[in-house]
Amino acid sequence: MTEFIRNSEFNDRAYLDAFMKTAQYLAGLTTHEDVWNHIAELMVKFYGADSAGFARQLENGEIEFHNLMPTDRSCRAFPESQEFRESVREVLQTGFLALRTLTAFEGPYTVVLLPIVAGAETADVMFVGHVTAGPISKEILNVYLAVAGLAGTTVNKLFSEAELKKHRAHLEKLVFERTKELESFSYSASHDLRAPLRAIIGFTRKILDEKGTSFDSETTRMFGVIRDNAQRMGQLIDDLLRLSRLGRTELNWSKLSMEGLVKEVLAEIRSADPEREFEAEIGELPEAYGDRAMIRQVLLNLLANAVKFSRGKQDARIEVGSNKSPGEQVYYVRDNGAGFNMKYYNKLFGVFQRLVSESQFEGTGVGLAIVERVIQRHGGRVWAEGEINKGATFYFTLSPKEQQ
Amino acid sequence: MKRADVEILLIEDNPADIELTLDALKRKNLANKVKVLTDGEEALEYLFNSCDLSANKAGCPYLILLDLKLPKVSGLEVLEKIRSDIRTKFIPVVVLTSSEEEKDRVESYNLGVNSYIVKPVEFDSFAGVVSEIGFYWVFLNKPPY
Repeated sequence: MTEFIRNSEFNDRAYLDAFMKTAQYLAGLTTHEDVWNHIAELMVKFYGADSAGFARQLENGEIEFHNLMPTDRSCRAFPESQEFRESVREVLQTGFLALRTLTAFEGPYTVVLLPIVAGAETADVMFVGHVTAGPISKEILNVYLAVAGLAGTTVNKLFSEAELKKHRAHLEKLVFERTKELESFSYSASHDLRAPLRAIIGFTRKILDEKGTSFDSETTRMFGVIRDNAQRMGQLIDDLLRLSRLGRTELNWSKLSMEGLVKEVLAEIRSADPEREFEAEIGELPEAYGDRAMIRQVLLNLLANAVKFSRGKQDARIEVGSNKSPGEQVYYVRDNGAGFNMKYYNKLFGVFQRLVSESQFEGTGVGLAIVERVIQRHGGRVWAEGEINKGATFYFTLSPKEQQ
Repeated sequence: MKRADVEILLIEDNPADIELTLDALKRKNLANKVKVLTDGEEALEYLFNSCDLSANKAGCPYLILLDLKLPKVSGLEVLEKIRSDIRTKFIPVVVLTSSEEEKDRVESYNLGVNSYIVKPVEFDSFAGVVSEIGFYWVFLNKPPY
Protein backbone atom coordinates (compact mmCIF):
# COMPACT_ATOMS: atom_id res chain seq x y z
CA MET A 1 0.00 0.00 0.00
CA THR A 2 1.23 3.46 -0.80
CA GLU A 3 0.42 6.52 1.15
CA PHE A 4 -2.12 7.34 -1.40
CA ILE A 5 -3.97 10.26 0.01
CA ARG A 6 -1.03 11.99 1.57
CA ASN A 7 1.02 11.95 -1.62
CA SER A 8 -1.74 12.78 -4.04
CA GLU A 9 -3.48 15.96 -4.76
CA PHE A 10 -6.68 16.04 -2.78
CA ASN A 11 -9.17 16.08 -5.57
CA ASP A 12 -12.47 14.31 -6.00
CA ARG A 13 -10.98 11.86 -8.42
CA ALA A 14 -8.35 10.74 -5.93
CA TYR A 15 -10.97 10.25 -3.22
CA LEU A 16 -13.13 8.26 -5.52
CA ASP A 17 -10.23 6.02 -6.55
CA ALA A 18 -9.18 5.48 -2.97
CA PHE A 19 -12.70 4.73 -1.93
CA MET A 20 -13.31 2.30 -4.79
CA LYS A 21 -10.13 0.43 -3.97
CA THR A 22 -11.15 0.24 -0.34
CA ALA A 23 -14.58 -1.06 -1.30
CA GLN A 24 -13.12 -3.70 -3.60
CA TYR A 25 -10.71 -4.74 -0.94
CA LEU A 26 -13.34 -5.06 1.77
CA ALA A 27 -15.72 -7.01 -0.47
CA GLY A 28 -13.33 -9.96 -0.43
CA LEU A 29 -13.15 -10.25 3.36
CA THR A 30 -15.01 -13.00 5.14
CA THR A 31 -14.69 -12.37 8.89
CA HIS A 32 -15.40 -9.42 11.17
CA GLU A 33 -11.89 -9.57 12.54
CA ASP A 34 -10.46 -9.20 9.01
CA VAL A 35 -12.69 -6.19 8.35
CA TRP A 36 -11.52 -4.38 11.49
CA ASN A 37 -7.87 -5.25 10.92
CA HIS A 38 -7.77 -4.27 7.32
CA ILE A 39 -9.62 -1.00 7.71
CA ALA A 40 -7.32 0.10 10.51
CA GLU A 41 -4.36 -0.84 8.40
CA LEU A 42 -5.76 0.99 5.36
CA MET A 43 -6.36 4.15 7.34
CA VAL A 44 -2.73 4.28 8.40
CA LYS A 45 -0.89 2.88 5.40
CA PHE A 46 -3.14 3.98 2.57
CA TYR A 47 -4.97 7.09 3.75
CA GLY A 48 -1.95 8.39 5.65
CA ALA A 49 -3.42 8.68 9.14
CA ASP A 50 -1.04 8.39 12.09
CA SER A 51 -3.27 6.00 13.98
CA ALA A 52 -6.58 4.21 13.65
CA GLY A 53 -8.70 1.75 15.59
CA PHE A 54 -12.12 0.83 16.86
CA ALA A 55 -14.08 1.00 20.07
CA ARG A 56 -17.32 -0.53 21.23
CA GLN A 57 -19.37 -0.61 24.38
CA LEU A 58 -19.57 -3.88 26.24
CA GLU A 59 -22.70 -5.10 27.97
CA ASN A 60 -21.39 -3.95 31.33
CA GLY A 61 -21.02 -0.40 29.99
CA GLU A 62 -17.23 -0.51 29.68
CA ILE A 63 -15.66 0.78 26.48
CA GLU A 64 -13.45 -1.75 24.75
CA PHE A 65 -10.80 -0.76 22.21
CA HIS A 66 -9.73 -3.16 19.51
CA ASN A 67 -7.66 -3.52 16.36
CA LEU A 68 -5.49 -0.55 17.08
CA MET A 69 -2.95 0.65 14.48
CA PRO A 70 -0.07 1.07 14.68
CA THR A 71 0.41 -1.64 17.23
CA ASP A 72 3.65 -0.34 18.66
CA ARG A 73 3.02 3.11 20.03
CA SER A 74 0.66 6.04 20.39
CA CYS A 75 -2.63 4.21 20.22
CA ARG A 76 -2.08 2.47 23.48
CA ALA A 77 -2.60 5.72 25.20
CA PHE A 78 -6.19 6.06 23.95
CA PRO A 79 -7.82 3.57 26.26
CA GLU A 80 -6.17 5.22 29.21
CA SER A 81 -7.70 8.55 28.46
CA GLN A 82 -10.96 9.05 30.35
CA GLU A 83 -11.74 12.00 28.11
CA PHE A 84 -11.40 9.87 25.01
CA ARG A 85 -13.66 7.19 26.42
CA GLU A 86 -16.32 9.78 27.09
CA SER A 87 -16.05 10.91 23.49
CA VAL A 88 -16.55 7.34 22.31
CA ARG A 89 -19.70 7.05 24.46
CA GLU A 90 -21.00 10.26 23.03
CA VAL A 91 -20.55 9.13 19.42
CA LEU A 92 -22.19 5.80 20.22
CA GLN A 93 -25.17 7.62 21.68
CA THR A 94 -25.60 10.40 19.15
CA GLY A 95 -24.39 8.64 16.01
CA PHE A 96 -22.60 11.82 14.94
CA LEU A 97 -19.01 12.29 13.91
CA ALA A 98 -16.81 13.97 16.54
CA LEU A 99 -13.44 15.68 16.46
CA ARG A 100 -11.21 15.73 19.56
CA THR A 101 -7.81 17.14 20.19
CA LEU A 102 -6.13 15.05 22.84
CA THR A 103 -3.66 16.22 25.38
CA ALA A 104 -2.29 12.84 26.33
CA PHE A 105 0.40 12.99 23.70
CA GLU A 106 3.47 15.02 23.17
CA GLY A 107 2.41 17.68 20.80
CA PRO A 108 -1.05 18.21 19.36
CA TYR A 109 -3.00 15.17 18.32
CA THR A 110 -6.36 15.34 16.59
CA VAL A 111 -8.67 12.35 16.51
CA VAL A 112 -11.75 11.87 14.31
CA LEU A 113 -14.39 9.61 15.83
CA LEU A 114 -16.75 8.10 13.30
CA PRO A 115 -19.93 6.12 13.96
CA ILE A 116 -20.24 2.70 12.35
CA VAL A 117 -23.91 1.92 11.90
CA ALA A 118 -25.12 -1.67 11.99
CA GLY A 119 -28.84 -2.05 11.51
CA ALA A 120 -30.54 0.92 13.14
CA GLU A 121 -27.97 1.77 15.78
CA THR A 122 -24.39 2.80 16.15
CA ALA A 123 -22.60 -0.32 17.23
CA ASP A 124 -18.97 0.67 16.90
CA VAL A 125 -16.81 3.74 16.67
CA MET A 126 -13.89 4.06 14.31
CA PHE A 127 -11.25 6.58 15.21
CA VAL A 128 -8.51 8.04 13.06
CA GLY A 129 -5.70 10.11 14.59
CA HIS A 130 -3.47 12.76 13.05
CA VAL A 131 -0.42 14.35 14.62
CA THR A 132 -1.60 17.86 13.95
CA ALA A 133 -3.40 20.61 15.73
CA GLY A 134 -6.03 20.53 13.03
CA PRO A 135 -8.16 21.48 11.44
CA ILE A 136 -8.73 18.38 9.35
CA SER A 137 -10.08 19.22 5.93
CA LYS A 138 -13.71 18.60 5.13
CA GLU A 139 -12.70 16.46 2.16
CA ILE A 140 -10.74 14.09 4.34
CA LEU A 141 -13.57 13.91 6.86
CA ASN A 142 -15.92 13.01 4.06
CA VAL A 143 -13.65 10.20 2.91
CA TYR A 144 -13.41 8.90 6.48
CA LEU A 145 -17.17 9.00 6.82
CA ALA A 146 -17.50 7.06 3.59
CA VAL A 147 -15.03 4.44 4.82
CA ALA A 148 -16.89 4.16 8.13
CA GLY A 149 -20.09 3.67 6.13
CA LEU A 150 -18.41 1.00 4.10
CA ALA A 151 -17.19 -0.72 7.26
CA GLY A 152 -20.76 -0.75 8.56
CA THR A 153 -22.11 -2.18 5.32
CA THR A 154 -19.44 -4.86 5.20
CA VAL A 155 -19.99 -5.88 8.80
CA ASN A 156 -23.73 -5.96 8.21
CA LYS A 157 -23.26 -8.09 5.14
CA LEU A 158 -21.10 -10.56 7.04
CA PHE A 159 -23.65 -10.65 9.81
CA SER A 160 -26.51 -11.34 7.37
CA GLU A 161 -24.49 -14.03 5.67
CA ALA A 162 -23.80 -15.70 8.99
CA GLU A 163 -27.50 -15.44 9.87
CA LEU A 164 -28.49 -16.91 6.53
CA LYS A 165 -26.06 -19.74 6.98
CA LYS A 166 -27.47 -20.43 10.42
CA HIS A 167 -30.99 -20.37 9.00
CA ARG A 168 -30.10 -22.69 6.19
CA ALA A 169 -28.48 -25.15 8.58
CA HIS A 170 -31.56 -24.95 10.77
CA LEU A 171 -33.88 -25.57 7.82
CA GLU A 172 -31.82 -28.49 6.63
CA LYS A 173 -31.99 -29.96 10.10
CA LEU A 174 -35.76 -29.48 10.16
CA VAL A 175 -36.18 -31.13 6.77
CA PHE A 176 -34.05 -34.02 7.95
CA GLU A 177 -36.12 -34.41 11.10
CA ARG A 178 -39.42 -34.15 9.23
CA THR A 179 -38.26 -36.74 6.73
CA LYS A 180 -37.37 -39.03 9.61
CA GLU A 181 -40.79 -38.44 11.15
CA LEU A 182 -42.46 -39.16 7.84
CA GLU A 183 -40.46 -42.33 7.49
CA SER A 184 -41.41 -43.58 10.90
CA PHE A 185 -45.01 -42.58 10.24
CA SER A 186 -45.24 -44.50 7.00
CA TYR A 187 -43.45 -47.40 8.62
CA SER A 188 -46.03 -47.61 11.35
CA ALA A 189 -48.78 -46.94 8.82
CA SER A 190 -47.68 -49.90 6.77
CA HIS A 191 -47.48 -52.07 9.85
CA ASP A 192 -49.99 -50.92 12.35
CA LEU A 193 -52.84 -49.57 10.24
CA ARG A 194 -53.13 -52.55 7.97
CA ALA A 195 -53.33 -55.20 10.67
CA PRO A 196 -56.67 -54.01 12.12
CA LEU A 197 -58.08 -53.64 8.62
CA ARG A 198 -57.13 -57.19 7.82
CA ALA A 199 -58.99 -58.26 10.94
CA ILE A 200 -62.11 -56.24 10.03
CA ILE A 201 -62.16 -57.59 6.50
CA GLY A 202 -61.26 -61.14 7.50
CA PHE A 203 -63.79 -61.41 10.29
CA THR A 204 -66.58 -59.80 8.29
CA ARG A 205 -65.85 -62.41 5.69
CA LYS A 206 -65.91 -65.15 8.32
CA ILE A 207 -69.29 -63.95 9.57
CA LEU A 208 -70.68 -63.97 6.05
CA ASP A 209 -69.19 -67.40 5.30
CA GLU A 210 -70.20 -69.09 8.53
CA LYS A 211 -73.44 -67.33 9.50
CA GLY A 212 -74.47 -65.72 6.24
CA THR A 213 -77.29 -68.16 5.53
CA SER A 214 -79.17 -67.13 8.66
CA PHE A 215 -79.08 -63.38 7.82
CA ASP A 216 -81.74 -61.52 5.93
CA SER A 217 -80.59 -59.76 2.81
CA GLU A 218 -80.35 -56.33 4.50
CA THR A 219 -77.97 -57.65 7.18
CA THR A 220 -75.85 -59.31 4.52
CA ARG A 221 -75.78 -56.06 2.54
CA MET A 222 -74.65 -54.08 5.57
CA PHE A 223 -71.82 -56.49 6.32
CA GLY A 224 -70.88 -56.09 2.68
CA VAL A 225 -70.69 -52.31 3.16
CA ILE A 226 -68.35 -52.79 6.12
CA ARG A 227 -66.12 -55.09 4.14
CA ASP A 228 -66.04 -52.89 1.04
CA ASN A 229 -65.15 -49.80 3.00
CA ALA A 230 -62.44 -51.52 4.94
CA GLN A 231 -61.01 -52.73 1.66
CA ARG A 232 -61.13 -49.23 0.29
CA MET A 233 -59.32 -47.93 3.32
CA GLY A 234 -56.65 -50.52 2.74
CA GLN A 235 -56.25 -49.22 -0.79
CA LEU A 236 -56.01 -45.65 0.43
CA ILE A 237 -53.30 -46.58 2.91
CA ASP A 238 -51.35 -48.43 0.24
CA ASP A 239 -51.60 -45.50 -2.17
CA LEU A 240 -50.57 -43.02 0.48
CA LEU A 241 -47.57 -45.15 1.35
CA ARG A 242 -46.61 -45.38 -2.30
CA LEU A 243 -46.82 -41.62 -2.56
CA SER A 244 -44.67 -41.06 0.52
CA ARG A 245 -42.14 -43.61 -0.63
CA LEU A 246 -41.85 -41.80 -3.97
CA GLY A 247 -40.81 -38.69 -2.13
CA ARG A 248 -37.91 -40.28 -0.32
CA THR A 249 -36.43 -43.03 -2.47
CA GLU A 250 -33.44 -41.94 -4.48
CA LEU A 251 -33.79 -41.61 -8.21
CA ASN A 252 -31.96 -44.18 -10.22
CA TRP A 253 -31.16 -42.33 -13.46
CA SER A 254 -30.81 -44.15 -16.73
CA LYS A 255 -31.62 -43.77 -20.38
CA LEU A 256 -35.21 -44.81 -21.01
CA SER A 257 -36.90 -46.08 -24.11
CA MET A 258 -40.22 -44.31 -23.72
CA GLU A 259 -41.70 -46.30 -26.58
CA GLY A 260 -40.69 -49.58 -24.93
CA LEU A 261 -42.14 -48.47 -21.61
CA VAL A 262 -45.43 -47.36 -23.14
CA LYS A 263 -45.82 -50.66 -24.98
CA GLU A 264 -45.01 -52.60 -21.82
CA VAL A 265 -47.55 -50.65 -19.78
CA LEU A 266 -50.26 -50.95 -22.44
CA ALA A 267 -49.71 -54.71 -22.54
CA GLU A 268 -50.10 -54.82 -18.77
CA ILE A 269 -53.33 -52.83 -18.91
CA ARG A 270 -54.71 -55.05 -21.67
CA SER A 271 -53.86 -58.26 -19.85
CA ALA A 272 -55.54 -56.98 -16.67
CA ASP A 273 -58.81 -56.60 -18.55
CA PRO A 274 -58.71 -58.51 -21.86
CA GLU A 275 -62.41 -57.82 -22.51
CA ARG A 276 -61.93 -54.09 -22.61
CA GLU A 277 -61.65 -52.69 -26.13
CA PHE A 278 -59.80 -49.54 -27.03
CA GLU A 279 -57.58 -48.34 -29.78
CA ALA A 280 -54.08 -47.15 -28.90
CA GLU A 281 -51.95 -45.07 -31.16
CA ILE A 282 -48.30 -44.63 -30.27
CA GLY A 283 -46.59 -41.72 -32.00
CA GLU A 284 -42.94 -40.89 -32.06
CA LEU A 285 -41.49 -41.14 -28.54
CA PRO A 286 -37.88 -40.01 -28.14
CA GLU A 287 -35.71 -41.52 -25.43
CA ALA A 288 -35.61 -39.84 -22.05
CA TYR A 289 -33.56 -39.84 -18.86
CA GLY A 290 -35.13 -40.83 -15.61
CA ASP A 291 -35.82 -43.47 -13.00
CA ARG A 292 -37.23 -46.40 -14.91
CA ALA A 293 -39.59 -47.70 -12.22
CA MET A 294 -40.94 -44.25 -11.44
CA ILE A 295 -41.48 -43.15 -15.04
CA ARG A 296 -43.13 -46.49 -15.67
CA GLN A 297 -45.48 -45.72 -12.78
CA VAL A 298 -46.26 -42.32 -14.33
CA LEU A 299 -47.09 -43.90 -17.68
CA LEU A 300 -49.13 -46.62 -15.99
CA ASN A 301 -51.19 -44.08 -14.04
CA LEU A 302 -51.77 -41.85 -17.06
CA LEU A 303 -52.60 -44.69 -19.44
CA ALA A 304 -54.76 -46.52 -16.91
CA ASN A 305 -56.65 -43.26 -16.36
CA ALA A 306 -57.07 -42.79 -20.10
CA VAL A 307 -58.44 -46.31 -20.43
CA LYS A 308 -60.64 -45.95 -17.35
CA PHE A 309 -62.18 -42.62 -18.30
CA SER A 310 -62.90 -43.63 -21.88
CA ARG A 311 -64.85 -46.65 -20.67
CA GLY A 312 -68.31 -46.87 -22.18
CA LYS A 313 -67.26 -44.64 -25.05
CA GLN A 314 -67.74 -45.94 -28.55
CA ASP A 315 -64.42 -46.01 -30.42
CA ALA A 316 -62.41 -45.32 -27.28
CA ARG A 317 -59.10 -44.05 -28.48
CA ILE A 318 -55.85 -43.41 -26.64
CA GLU A 319 -53.00 -41.51 -28.15
CA VAL A 320 -49.45 -41.29 -26.82
CA GLY A 321 -46.98 -38.97 -28.46
CA SER A 322 -44.52 -36.16 -28.11
CA ASN A 323 -43.92 -32.58 -29.19
CA LYS A 324 -40.53 -31.00 -29.45
CA SER A 325 -40.50 -27.56 -27.95
CA PRO A 326 -37.36 -25.49 -27.48
CA GLY A 327 -35.13 -26.90 -24.77
CA GLU A 328 -37.48 -29.65 -23.67
CA GLN A 329 -39.33 -32.70 -24.82
CA VAL A 330 -43.05 -32.79 -24.15
CA TYR A 331 -44.77 -36.17 -23.90
CA TYR A 332 -48.52 -36.50 -23.86
CA VAL A 333 -51.27 -39.05 -23.25
CA ARG A 334 -54.64 -38.22 -24.80
CA ASP A 335 -58.00 -39.91 -24.61
CA ASN A 336 -61.47 -39.18 -25.99
CA GLY A 337 -63.24 -40.16 -22.78
CA ALA A 338 -65.12 -38.43 -20.01
CA GLY A 339 -62.73 -35.48 -19.83
CA PHE A 340 -62.94 -32.91 -17.05
CA ASN A 341 -64.07 -29.38 -16.49
CA MET A 342 -61.12 -26.95 -16.58
CA LYS A 343 -62.92 -25.04 -13.81
CA TYR A 344 -61.70 -27.70 -11.37
CA TYR A 345 -58.19 -27.87 -12.81
CA ASN A 346 -56.60 -26.85 -9.49
CA LYS A 347 -57.95 -30.02 -7.87
CA LEU A 348 -56.73 -32.34 -10.57
CA PHE A 349 -53.34 -33.23 -9.09
CA GLY A 350 -54.28 -32.97 -5.40
CA VAL A 351 -53.98 -35.97 -3.10
CA PHE A 352 -57.36 -37.69 -2.55
CA GLN A 353 -59.00 -35.11 -4.82
CA ARG A 354 -61.42 -36.59 -7.25
CA LEU A 355 -63.40 -34.86 -9.96
CA VAL A 356 -65.79 -37.77 -10.48
CA SER A 357 -67.83 -39.81 -8.06
CA GLU A 358 -66.73 -43.22 -6.88
CA SER A 359 -69.82 -44.79 -8.42
CA GLN A 360 -68.95 -43.39 -11.86
CA PHE A 361 -65.26 -44.21 -11.95
CA GLU A 362 -63.45 -46.06 -9.18
CA GLY A 363 -60.18 -44.81 -7.74
CA THR A 364 -58.56 -43.35 -4.65
CA GLY A 365 -57.49 -39.99 -6.02
CA VAL A 366 -53.78 -40.57 -5.60
CA GLY A 367 -52.78 -41.52 -9.15
CA LEU A 368 -52.26 -38.02 -10.51
CA ALA A 369 -50.65 -36.85 -7.29
CA ILE A 370 -48.11 -39.61 -7.80
CA VAL A 371 -47.62 -38.49 -11.41
CA GLU A 372 -46.98 -34.93 -10.32
CA ARG A 373 -44.59 -35.94 -7.54
CA VAL A 374 -42.51 -38.14 -9.84
CA ILE A 375 -42.32 -35.57 -12.63
CA GLN A 376 -41.35 -32.85 -10.16
CA ARG A 377 -38.61 -35.01 -8.75
CA HIS A 378 -37.32 -35.42 -12.29
CA GLY A 379 -37.15 -31.66 -12.73
CA GLY A 380 -40.02 -31.69 -15.23
CA ARG A 381 -43.50 -30.19 -15.43
CA VAL A 382 -46.92 -31.76 -15.80
CA TRP A 383 -50.15 -30.15 -16.94
CA ALA A 384 -53.43 -31.10 -18.57
CA GLU A 385 -56.23 -29.97 -20.79
CA GLY A 386 -59.73 -31.37 -20.76
CA GLU A 387 -63.27 -30.89 -21.84
CA ILE A 388 -66.31 -32.70 -20.47
CA ASN A 389 -67.21 -35.70 -22.65
CA LYS A 390 -64.58 -34.80 -25.22
CA GLY A 391 -61.55 -36.23 -23.43
CA ALA A 392 -58.38 -35.18 -21.64
CA THR A 393 -54.74 -34.70 -22.53
CA PHE A 394 -51.97 -34.96 -19.97
CA TYR A 395 -48.60 -33.47 -20.83
CA PHE A 396 -45.30 -33.86 -19.06
CA THR A 397 -41.69 -32.94 -19.60
CA LEU A 398 -38.53 -34.51 -18.27
CA SER A 399 -35.13 -32.92 -17.83
CA PRO A 400 -33.27 -33.14 -21.15
CA LYS A 401 -30.10 -34.43 -19.57
CA GLU A 402 -29.19 -36.80 -16.85
CA GLN A 403 -28.80 -34.91 -13.62
CA GLN A 404 -27.51 -35.83 -10.23
CA MET B 1 -37.76 -89.86 8.34
CA LYS B 2 -40.98 -89.67 10.27
CA ARG B 3 -43.16 -86.63 9.96
CA ALA B 4 -42.64 -84.00 12.60
CA ASP B 5 -45.19 -83.39 15.31
CA VAL B 6 -45.11 -79.71 14.55
CA GLU B 7 -45.08 -79.07 10.83
CA ILE B 8 -45.55 -75.33 10.92
CA LEU B 9 -44.38 -72.99 13.64
CA LEU B 10 -46.33 -69.74 13.52
CA ILE B 11 -44.62 -66.90 15.36
CA GLU B 12 -47.19 -64.14 15.50
CA ASP B 13 -48.58 -61.95 18.27
CA ASN B 14 -51.73 -60.49 16.71
CA PRO B 15 -54.66 -62.74 17.77
CA ALA B 16 -56.78 -61.79 14.76
CA ASP B 17 -53.96 -62.61 12.36
CA ILE B 18 -53.37 -65.91 14.18
CA GLU B 19 -57.00 -66.90 13.77
CA LEU B 20 -57.13 -65.87 10.12
CA THR B 21 -53.86 -67.68 9.41
CA LEU B 22 -55.16 -70.86 11.00
CA ASP B 23 -58.40 -70.52 9.02
CA ALA B 24 -56.41 -70.24 5.84
CA LEU B 25 -54.22 -73.24 6.69
CA LYS B 26 -57.36 -75.30 7.36
CA ARG B 27 -58.25 -74.86 3.71
CA LYS B 28 -55.34 -77.15 2.82
CA ASN B 29 -55.70 -79.38 5.85
CA LEU B 30 -52.56 -77.93 7.35
CA ALA B 31 -53.96 -76.64 10.61
CA ASN B 32 -53.53 -79.80 12.69
CA LYS B 33 -49.81 -79.65 13.21
CA VAL B 34 -49.36 -75.95 13.74
CA LYS B 35 -47.82 -74.53 16.86
CA VAL B 36 -48.42 -70.88 17.62
CA LEU B 37 -46.03 -68.81 19.71
CA THR B 38 -46.67 -65.18 20.38
CA ASP B 39 -43.31 -63.69 21.18
CA GLY B 40 -39.77 -63.99 19.89
CA GLU B 41 -38.18 -65.09 23.11
CA GLU B 42 -40.63 -67.92 23.62
CA ALA B 43 -40.17 -69.01 20.01
CA LEU B 44 -36.39 -69.26 20.32
CA GLU B 45 -36.68 -71.13 23.60
CA TYR B 46 -39.07 -73.62 22.04
CA LEU B 47 -36.92 -74.13 18.95
CA PHE B 48 -33.64 -74.66 20.76
CA ASN B 49 -35.28 -77.12 23.15
CA SER B 50 -37.16 -79.22 20.67
CA CYS B 51 -35.07 -79.10 17.53
CA ASP B 52 -31.46 -80.02 16.83
CA LEU B 53 -30.58 -80.64 13.21
CA SER B 54 -27.00 -81.55 14.10
CA ALA B 55 -28.17 -84.37 16.36
CA ASN B 56 -30.84 -85.61 13.98
CA LYS B 57 -33.56 -84.81 16.44
CA ALA B 58 -36.87 -84.95 14.64
CA GLY B 59 -38.53 -82.00 16.35
CA CYS B 60 -37.86 -79.38 13.70
CA PRO B 61 -40.79 -77.83 11.87
CA TYR B 62 -40.89 -77.87 8.07
CA LEU B 63 -41.71 -74.23 8.05
CA ILE B 64 -41.52 -71.22 10.31
CA LEU B 65 -43.98 -68.45 9.54
CA LEU B 66 -42.43 -65.39 11.13
CA ASP B 67 -43.98 -62.01 11.80
CA LEU B 68 -41.47 -59.18 12.12
CA LYS B 69 -43.12 -57.05 14.76
CA LEU B 70 -43.03 -59.13 17.88
CA PRO B 71 -42.84 -58.37 21.58
CA LYS B 72 -39.48 -58.76 23.38
CA VAL B 73 -37.35 -60.27 20.61
CA SER B 74 -38.14 -58.91 17.15
CA GLY B 75 -38.72 -61.11 14.13
CA LEU B 76 -35.43 -60.07 12.56
CA GLU B 77 -33.55 -61.03 15.74
CA VAL B 78 -35.34 -64.37 15.81
CA LEU B 79 -34.32 -64.94 12.21
CA GLU B 80 -30.73 -64.05 12.95
CA LYS B 81 -30.57 -66.44 15.92
CA ILE B 82 -32.14 -69.29 13.94
CA ARG B 83 -29.69 -68.85 11.09
CA SER B 84 -26.60 -68.58 13.24
CA ASP B 85 -27.24 -71.73 15.29
CA ILE B 86 -26.23 -75.09 13.89
CA ARG B 87 -29.30 -76.73 15.45
CA THR B 88 -31.77 -74.60 13.50
CA LYS B 89 -30.00 -72.93 10.61
CA PHE B 90 -31.59 -74.96 7.79
CA ILE B 91 -35.22 -74.60 8.82
CA PRO B 92 -37.18 -72.82 6.07
CA VAL B 93 -38.31 -69.45 7.34
CA VAL B 94 -40.93 -67.37 5.56
CA VAL B 95 -41.41 -63.85 6.82
CA LEU B 96 -45.11 -63.01 6.81
CA THR B 97 -45.51 -59.37 7.70
CA SER B 98 -47.48 -56.20 7.13
CA SER B 99 -44.29 -54.32 6.38
CA GLU B 100 -43.48 -53.47 2.81
CA GLU B 101 -40.52 -51.40 3.92
CA GLU B 102 -37.39 -51.92 1.88
CA LYS B 103 -35.14 -52.04 4.92
CA ASP B 104 -37.12 -54.91 6.43
CA ARG B 105 -37.10 -56.81 3.17
CA VAL B 106 -33.42 -56.31 2.49
CA GLU B 107 -32.45 -57.11 6.06
CA SER B 108 -34.53 -60.30 6.03
CA TYR B 109 -32.78 -61.57 2.90
CA ASN B 110 -29.51 -60.45 4.36
CA LEU B 111 -30.17 -62.72 7.32
CA GLY B 112 -31.04 -65.63 5.03
CA VAL B 113 -34.82 -65.73 4.89
CA ASN B 114 -36.29 -68.19 2.36
CA SER B 115 -39.15 -65.98 1.32
CA TYR B 116 -40.66 -62.63 2.22
CA ILE B 117 -44.42 -62.22 1.95
CA VAL B 118 -46.43 -59.06 2.64
CA LYS B 119 -49.75 -59.99 4.23
CA PRO B 120 -52.53 -58.87 1.93
CA VAL B 121 -55.26 -56.86 3.61
CA GLU B 122 -57.99 -58.52 1.61
CA PHE B 123 -59.05 -61.83 3.13
CA ASP B 124 -59.26 -64.03 0.04
CA SER B 125 -55.80 -62.97 -1.04
CA PHE B 126 -54.49 -63.44 2.47
CA ALA B 127 -56.02 -66.89 2.79
CA GLY B 128 -54.76 -67.84 -0.65
CA VAL B 129 -51.23 -66.72 0.09
CA VAL B 130 -51.03 -68.43 3.47
CA SER B 131 -52.43 -71.74 2.30
CA GLU B 132 -50.15 -71.79 -0.72
CA ILE B 133 -47.06 -71.07 1.34
CA GLY B 134 -48.05 -73.80 3.77
CA PHE B 135 -48.69 -76.34 1.06
CA TYR B 136 -45.50 -75.53 -0.81
CA TRP B 137 -43.11 -75.74 2.14
CA VAL B 138 -44.76 -78.64 3.96
CA PHE B 139 -45.64 -80.91 1.05
CA LEU B 140 -43.66 -79.90 -2.03
CA ASN B 141 -40.40 -78.69 -0.66
CA LYS B 142 -37.76 -81.20 0.45
CA PRO B 143 -35.78 -79.93 3.42
CA PRO B 144 -32.18 -81.11 3.99
CA TYR B 145 -33.30 -83.04 7.06
